[in-house]
Amino acid sequence: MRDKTMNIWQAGICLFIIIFANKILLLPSLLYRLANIEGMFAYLFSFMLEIGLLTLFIFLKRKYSHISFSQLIREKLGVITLKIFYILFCLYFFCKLILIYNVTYIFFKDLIYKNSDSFLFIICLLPIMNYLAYSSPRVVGRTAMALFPIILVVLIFCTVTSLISVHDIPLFFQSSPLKVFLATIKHISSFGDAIFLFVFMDKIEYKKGDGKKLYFFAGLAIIFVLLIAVAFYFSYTYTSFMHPYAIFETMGNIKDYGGLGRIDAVAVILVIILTYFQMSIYLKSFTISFKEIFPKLSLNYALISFDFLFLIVVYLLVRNLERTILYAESILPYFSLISFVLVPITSIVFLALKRRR
Amino acid sequence: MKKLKKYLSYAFRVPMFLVFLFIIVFYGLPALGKDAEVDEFAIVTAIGLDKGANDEVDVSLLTFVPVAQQNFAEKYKVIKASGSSVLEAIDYAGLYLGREIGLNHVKTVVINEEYFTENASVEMDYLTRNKSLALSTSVICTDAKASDFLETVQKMDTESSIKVDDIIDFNNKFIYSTESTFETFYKGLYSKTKSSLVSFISLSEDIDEGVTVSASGEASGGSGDTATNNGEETQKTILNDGKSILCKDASKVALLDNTDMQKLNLATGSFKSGTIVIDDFSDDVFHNARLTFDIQNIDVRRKGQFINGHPVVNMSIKLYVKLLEAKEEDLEIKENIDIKNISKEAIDALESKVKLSISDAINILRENKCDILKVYTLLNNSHPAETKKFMSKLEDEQDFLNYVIFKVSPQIYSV
Repeated sequence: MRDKTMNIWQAGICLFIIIFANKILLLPSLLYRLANIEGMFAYLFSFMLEIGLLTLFIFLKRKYSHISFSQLIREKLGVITLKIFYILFCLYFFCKLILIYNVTYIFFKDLIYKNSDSFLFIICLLPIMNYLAYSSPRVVGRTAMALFPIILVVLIFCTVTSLISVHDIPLFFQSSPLKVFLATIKHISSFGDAIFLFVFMDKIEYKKGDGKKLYFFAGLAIIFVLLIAVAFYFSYTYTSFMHPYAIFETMGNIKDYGGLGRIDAVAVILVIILTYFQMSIYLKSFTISFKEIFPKLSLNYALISFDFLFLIVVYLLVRNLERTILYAESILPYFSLISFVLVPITSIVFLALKRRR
Repeated sequence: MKKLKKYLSYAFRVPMFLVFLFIIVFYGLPALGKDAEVDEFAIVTAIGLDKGANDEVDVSLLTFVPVAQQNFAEKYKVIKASGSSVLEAIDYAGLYLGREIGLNHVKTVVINEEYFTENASVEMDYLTRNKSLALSTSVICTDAKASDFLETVQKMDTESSIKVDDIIDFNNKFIYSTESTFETFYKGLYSKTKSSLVSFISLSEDIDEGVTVSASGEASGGSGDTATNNGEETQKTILNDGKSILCKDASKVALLDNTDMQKLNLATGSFKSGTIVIDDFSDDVFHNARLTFDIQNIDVRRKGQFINGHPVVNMSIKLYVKLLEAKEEDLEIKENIDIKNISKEAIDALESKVKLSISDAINILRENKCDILKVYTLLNNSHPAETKKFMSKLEDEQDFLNYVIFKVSPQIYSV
């Protein structure tokens, strides 16, 4: 039984890792393009929603500690609703996976792969993702736990060195609340990552007071994301929109290398580790959702279906940054209704039902 | 045999082993048959842009072709090509060389002064869009042809191992010059007054200072690989004396010399090393002396405020200096120079000098309507509503510096 669950520390670390998904590469530059430096507010609003989602999860977990989200839906809303819910979850996780893949692939293509095709990148990524998704949640959690110190040290290094090298002030008050609102809406799909906790609900060992640990990891990740965004905007000011890969670019802005050579390679290592975990966690969430839709099929079917779909969509969709941004800004925000409307409303209903009893 | 079979059956049960095998077969083996990347590329370390005939662009590439040898030597060559656009010209250069042009190692872009008479960012467009070129690539403006400049650079490298990127690498360290990259250029261009500074390096035959090399005479002028000299050797000098061109809307509005740059840098504080000189100084120790102080550190703080609707910028400058040279007739060192501090009179003289320098710098900026000091950002960030109101009252927003009052308070410390 223990192998099928992860403890709260492991869940917290996974939450920490997943919160970075799509927020430290393209997003700062895109938000600047839409709302200038006030794009920072888009981060703040979206993170408030993210914390709200996490709070709902913690309340739900407190009230229904040993029950899965799917069981809750089955009991309270019926099997048909359950299937609809989990089809939507599957879609959501798949779309998020495509977005993460697109962004990181284009990033690595620009830096490392150059003329190589997408297939080489897939070969490096897909087997490990599949393996982690095939393994039990504890394996994912333990691997994340083992690499967490490295992630943390590299993140602290990147953030501190980026902040130290800041020597400029951007121009404030050039945007309007409407622009900030539109920027938030357009990029809301980069947030709502805490939704994976709902899918993992019965696989997380939860004791009284464990909510604080989740808040701690989420808060820590949010602080890092915000610091990286601040370092980016203060480093590049007027030209922020010209620099697509925030964490890498902030490291590239460091003038005094102290003989370290390509210091920005540190950021690349961080992005590699984070990408593997983010994609694995989302794939794991996809397979769990798939199993809820087709309970009689084994995990292999979920993975094979995913791999086929993934290869087809990647072949059709992954071309350049322009297409990725179009996909992220015009299609994906609709899917965020699942994480920021559907799941919260359902959770509130479940909480209200429990209270009435 | 049995053991091997056992190992193989175990290995095939591990999915990662199969993936590894797949990669080896599909990527590893074909890679062995491919040419090495160094055989496909010509590595460019500097690009020169000149205006060509019939609205064409003349591109010069300081290139070396990597060859696998026992002794590693980079033999540079300047390759010239013309085209209707920079990209087309670079493609032609690749054609002339029979190799793909690799721009990943470009550290410097040299642009002929002619381009700065109009919007220079138009020709820079390809270089900015190209992902191989970092925005931290240095940009230099020169009065000579960029191709001649690169040929001299190539010669300089052969004769003295001094590279052009080494020459401008320290531009941001000294008070007499400024950092000049695509990044700094665009940061300035997208600011309120669209103004930026670009380093200016002269190439001449009759300068006594700078790095002098024996260069060939005027090149034949045609495209392709220029291998022959068509005349006698001449002495050409590359002089990076800190000159910069002040650009507005990516066009040159003024050429600033190193004394102007010194004044500007005192106001921005963006340097690490430099000197400040006071002439005809007299006190208890010196009489009509020229004192040269080494600037050890500078801390510039600016604060924007509005007084009765007028924008005021308070500049507090802390300058940490050390007297390192004194010139005076019959000068004798009578006191322990490590103990003797700078006199009150010297501090007063330095303060006046700093005030005067900054006043001159502001006048240059006012004259050219260029806000290099980022005064607009300062005022807008601290008082957005009042700044908006103030700007709306102006006939020409670009001229706003003329209406800003600067209060400079230097503090000199001896170290």
